[in-house]
Amino acid sequence: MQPALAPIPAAEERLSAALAARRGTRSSRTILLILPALLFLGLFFAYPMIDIVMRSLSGAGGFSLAHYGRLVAHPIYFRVFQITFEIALTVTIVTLLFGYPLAYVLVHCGRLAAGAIWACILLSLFTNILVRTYAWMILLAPDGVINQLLGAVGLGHQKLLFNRFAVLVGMTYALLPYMVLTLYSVMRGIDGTLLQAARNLGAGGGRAFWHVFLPLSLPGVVGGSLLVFILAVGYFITPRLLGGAGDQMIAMVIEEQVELGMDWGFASALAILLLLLTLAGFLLYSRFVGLKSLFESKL
Amino acid sequence: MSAAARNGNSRHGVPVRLDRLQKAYEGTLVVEDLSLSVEAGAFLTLLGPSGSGKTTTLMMIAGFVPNSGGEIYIDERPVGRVPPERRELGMVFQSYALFPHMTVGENIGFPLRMRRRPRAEIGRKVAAALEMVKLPGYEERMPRQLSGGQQQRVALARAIVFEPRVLLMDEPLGSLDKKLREHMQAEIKRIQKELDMTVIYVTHDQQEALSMSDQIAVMHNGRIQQVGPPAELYDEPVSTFVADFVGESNFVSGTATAIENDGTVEVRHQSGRIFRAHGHAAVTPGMPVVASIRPERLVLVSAADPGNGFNLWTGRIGEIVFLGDAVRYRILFGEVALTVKTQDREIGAQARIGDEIGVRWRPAHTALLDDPSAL
Repeated sequence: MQPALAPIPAAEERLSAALAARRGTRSSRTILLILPALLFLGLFFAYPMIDIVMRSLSGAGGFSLAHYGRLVAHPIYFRVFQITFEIALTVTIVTLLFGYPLAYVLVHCGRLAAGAIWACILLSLFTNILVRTYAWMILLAPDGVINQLLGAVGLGHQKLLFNRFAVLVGMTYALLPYMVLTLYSVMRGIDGTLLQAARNLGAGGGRAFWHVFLPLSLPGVVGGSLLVFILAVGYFITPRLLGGAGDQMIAMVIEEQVELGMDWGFASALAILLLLLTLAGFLLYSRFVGLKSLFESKL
Repeated sequence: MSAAARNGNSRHGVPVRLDRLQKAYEGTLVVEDLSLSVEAGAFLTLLGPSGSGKTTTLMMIAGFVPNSGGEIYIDERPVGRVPPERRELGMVFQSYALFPHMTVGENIGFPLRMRRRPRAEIGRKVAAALEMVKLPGYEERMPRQLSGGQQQRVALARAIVFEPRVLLMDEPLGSLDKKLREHMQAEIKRIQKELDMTVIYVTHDQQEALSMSDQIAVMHNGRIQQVGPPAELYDEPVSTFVADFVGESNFVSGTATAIENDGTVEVRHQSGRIFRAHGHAAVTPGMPVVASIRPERLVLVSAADPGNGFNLWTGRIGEIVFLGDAVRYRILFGEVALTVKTQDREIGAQARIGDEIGVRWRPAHTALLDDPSAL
């Protein structure tokens, strides 16, 4: 009996070998498709990242924690991180407070009004950050339009430029579109009949919003806040141009170390610490809010 | 205070009346002068093709769409200016509209929570409502974990848990398959009877309307074409639209030649063929008329049949289609053709296309329509 059966396993082997070969070509084709992206990321993200880590850990004689030691030894750097996160958090909260009603109106208003609001949002988004920041410098200047207005209504001259207020105004303005866009895409996906159902079941407009619309828009709140916070933490031009001496953000210090001090190693250590702190914040946030909802949201 | 609340625990539907209700969108009337009365505890269906204004009418009753004219009376009180949350109407949406971030129990408890009922009562009523729709113990599930049919039941439970005065349903079975749809039709009827609710139901499915309703209002182009119980609508359609939309129909046009003592009208088709039709008040001799004859009212007989007071035409078989529970024949009479639907498989056994055959039907089963110009 055995000899008679012998050819069959052979045939099966041939078949599975052929299938394996097919699978092989398919997976190699998949690799080919993602190769450009992999190469790009490797060259311009992974390699620089590794390089920065290496630089931050190297001193005069090879491996060294000297840069991190300097960071810990000088409380001024702790202060800069503190200012950075303070500003980023405030900007995130203010953009959320402004952005939520704006996105809500955008989703619910007529086409004409929506077009006008979109034009304002996109125009500011597409304008160069330097141009926008200089525009704020002119507006907030001691003899600028806003001060003239304040003077006219009898509130006198206010110092509006080169302080925390100016930084917050400039950054909120610059980052608001990101918040609105994220919130809008989530809010637009909320089925309008759900609100009708809530009304029908006895909820007035306010309670329908509170029990149905708000919870369903939370993925947008989470996503928008994360996006704005991460962008804000690395902000550089706006605080540099609009801020005062007390508004040094970490990106400015890093730039200074590279431009003036030529200290690549210390700049790298600052960058790595910023990255770690941001990641830690992200994890903390996800513990409390749950990022699952962010990735589950229907966009 | 609603009738349900006044009467304590006894649940009773209330009448709904639409008085010259109107809706205009940018100058076009989508609902025109619509007047309709629904008795307390009755099941009324708004039946019509898409764009007939049936859903807009329902949305006006629910309060989501403001009416541009006329008034809606619920329990004889005008509600045109009352916001939806204070109309005390249950509604089942076509898409179910279950809140995706709430459990089944929270969804069904929502209307009770909005009415600030105590927790224990909410729990008890939610469980009872789930029992009613045959999904006991489903409180903790999320809507997305349920099948379409189960979601439909939850939507129904949520709409009835607060004992609304009227239940509105907007094509609630549209996305279910045929078997499940028929099952749910029976379930909805059972629950309606049990709770003695007034139901206003919107559908484009004439079969659904015929099998569920006490009254059907056929809508077309924003107007009501005919209102009546299913059998009346089917047997005595007033217009070609109703005859065609509700069931299947043969339309034969001709001229009224004589009116007999009992009101029966004799009609001559332009081919010279004669038939007699059920009386119609507005018809006088010489008038052009259109008659509607249901395919299942036609009987196939031998070409030599004597007729005996029935209408009898002889023609040739043009087409035979086997439908399973019935057979459909297309019989040709020169330029006219009649569709015959019969469950009698005996005749068909020897009939062949091209054979000469007789078609016989009762004058009483021949309805003259109001709108001869429509054909």
